[in-house]
Amino acid sequence: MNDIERRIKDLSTKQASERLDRRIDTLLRNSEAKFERGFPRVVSWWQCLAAMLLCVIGGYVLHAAMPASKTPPESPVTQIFLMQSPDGNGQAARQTRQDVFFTDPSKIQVFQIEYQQTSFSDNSI
Amino acid sequence: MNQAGFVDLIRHCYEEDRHELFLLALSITRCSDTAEDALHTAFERLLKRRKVPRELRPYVFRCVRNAAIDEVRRRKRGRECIVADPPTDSCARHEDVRLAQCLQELSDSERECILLKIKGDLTFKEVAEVCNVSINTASSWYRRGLAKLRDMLTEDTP
Repeated sequence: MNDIERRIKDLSTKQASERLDRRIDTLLRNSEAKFERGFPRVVSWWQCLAAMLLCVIGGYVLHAAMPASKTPPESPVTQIFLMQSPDGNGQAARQTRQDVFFTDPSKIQVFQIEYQQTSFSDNSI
Repeated sequence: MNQAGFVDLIRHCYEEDRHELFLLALSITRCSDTAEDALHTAFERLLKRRKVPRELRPYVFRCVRNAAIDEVRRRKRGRECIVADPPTDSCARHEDVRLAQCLQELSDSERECILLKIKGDLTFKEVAEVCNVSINTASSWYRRGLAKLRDMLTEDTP
C-alpha cells in the first residue's frame, strides 16, 4: 500500500447516521413481520408456466367432455324446394330461402324468398 | 434458507458495511440525505428479492451503487464533501479536505473503484462485479485514479 492509498484508508469520512440505522432497522423489522404474517411467496417463472399448462390442459379436457352443442351456421342456409305446381301444368317453383339467425330476439328473422318460375317440357318433376 | 434467516443475513450485511455503503452512496450523490434514501431503497429492493446471491457483499455494494445512481438521476447531485467534520485550522484536517476534494475531481468510475478497493476492502474481482466491468478495466481505473490523485497532490506541495 503506497502513501496515497494509506492516506485514503486513514481519511475520516462521513458515516452512516443513527437515523439511517433506524430506517434500515424499521425496514428489516417490517420485512420480518411480513414474513411472519405469511406474506405471499414470489412465484417463479416455471411455476407460472406449469399453471398455464394446467389451465390449457384442463380447458381442453372440459371442452372434450362437454356435449356438442348446436351452433347456428355462420352463413345463411339456402334451401331449395322443387314443388309441383297446383295446376299440374308442369310449372315448378324454386324457392330459395335464406334464413338469417339472430341471437337477439327483438330482431325479426329475415326471409328472403325468391320464386322463379321455370317451364318444363314434361311433368317429370 | 428460510425468510427469517434471509432477513438476518441482510441485517448482518448492513451492520458490517454500513459506513462503507454510506460512503459509496455519498460519493455518488454528494448529499447525505440522498445517500440515506439510496441506501434505504437498495435494502428495500434487496428484501424484495428474497434470494441470496452467490457473492452477497459485492451484490449489496452494487445495489447501493445502482440506487444512488437512480437517486442522482431523479434529483440534482449535491456538493457535499465526503470528509467527516467541517474543516478546522489543523494541518491534518486541511490535508484530508484537499484529498477529499481531489477524490471528487476524479471521474465517477475512478473514484468508485478507489473507494470500494481501499475503504470497502473489496478485491478487484469484487470491484469489477460492483461496477459491472471486467477486472482489467476496474484495475486500470483504480491505477489511473491513483496516478491522477498523486499528480494533483504533488502540484499542491510547494
